[in-house]
Amino acid sequence: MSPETSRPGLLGSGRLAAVLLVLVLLAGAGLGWALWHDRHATTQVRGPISSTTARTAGMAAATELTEKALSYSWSSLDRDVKAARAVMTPGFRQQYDQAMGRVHDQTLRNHITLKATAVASSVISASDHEVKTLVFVDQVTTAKGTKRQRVDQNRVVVTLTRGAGDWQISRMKAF
Amino acid sequence: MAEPRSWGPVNGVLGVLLVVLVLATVFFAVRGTSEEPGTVAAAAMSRQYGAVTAAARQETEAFLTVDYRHLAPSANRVLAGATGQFKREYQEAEVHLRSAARQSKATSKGTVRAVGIGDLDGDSAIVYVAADSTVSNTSTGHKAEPRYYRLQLQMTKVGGTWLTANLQFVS
Repeated sequence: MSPETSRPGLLGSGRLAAVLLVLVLLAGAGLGWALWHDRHATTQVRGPISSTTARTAGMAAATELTEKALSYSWSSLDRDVKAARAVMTPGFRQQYDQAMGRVHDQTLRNHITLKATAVASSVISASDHEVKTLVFVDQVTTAKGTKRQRVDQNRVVVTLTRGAGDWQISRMKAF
Repeated sequence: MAEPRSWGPVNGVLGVLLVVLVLATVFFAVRGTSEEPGTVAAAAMSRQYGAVTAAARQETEAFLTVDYRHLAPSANRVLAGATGQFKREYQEAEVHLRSAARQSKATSKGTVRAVGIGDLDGDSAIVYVAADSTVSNTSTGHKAEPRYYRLQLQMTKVGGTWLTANLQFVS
């Protein structure tokens, strides 16, 4: 018998085991990389826009919701406040209630009407759950005893958030 | 010294494990490249957003910045970021703007507060800019006064660069 034939077959050799072990480790590292890459690619888009559909929806919603939130009339104050609160998140609703509390009596006494018109709406950033918009708002104020209207040309950053339901205003900053 | 006979089963297990790992790697690698189509569009739009926003910011600040002692630098910056109708109009008005600025000893420092994008496609964008400036001239008694602006810029991509083709105040 020659020495070669006395060795165990290739499938049983320890050398193959070592080679296979190295390959398994390499493949494991490869899988780890693929998993990390997969997760990163599908859930994380860097930059301001991670959802183009949210951008489109948020831009349209910003116009409507901003006008609702910033308009009210003494003649339909309760109804207007209710409609405005309906488009706000609970957190922002508190701020709104405080602000309206300060002007409530005066609004009724002086027959004040505020009419807000969004003359332009644009998007700063958008993800599936949050859209930050820049809205140019003209707010026309009329009051009893004055013929003249006051027009304020505002710039408002309106942040909209969406949970399970529709977009709601979660933050408003005029400057 | 004979090799232990027990390497056979070990090699079998390692072989199976290797095949499983390779298949799993291929599966996730392939899936990673064919991810949800929205993600690719969003990444492309994010890159556009960055370029458009930076260009609009730069152009607006140049447009709102005036120093009657050094009028050329800011005017040149405006023209460098301008194209089409806006560029022509600015060039035509420049002589008048210069003499008016010198006469009133005007200075103005523009600051962009917020930039939003309305309509956007591959090579054109409607951009809205909220900007402030601090203005001083003979009619303010040379005191610095704040000004607030709402601007609409129509931008187009020319040879890889976003330029302003139209600029107007939103009133």
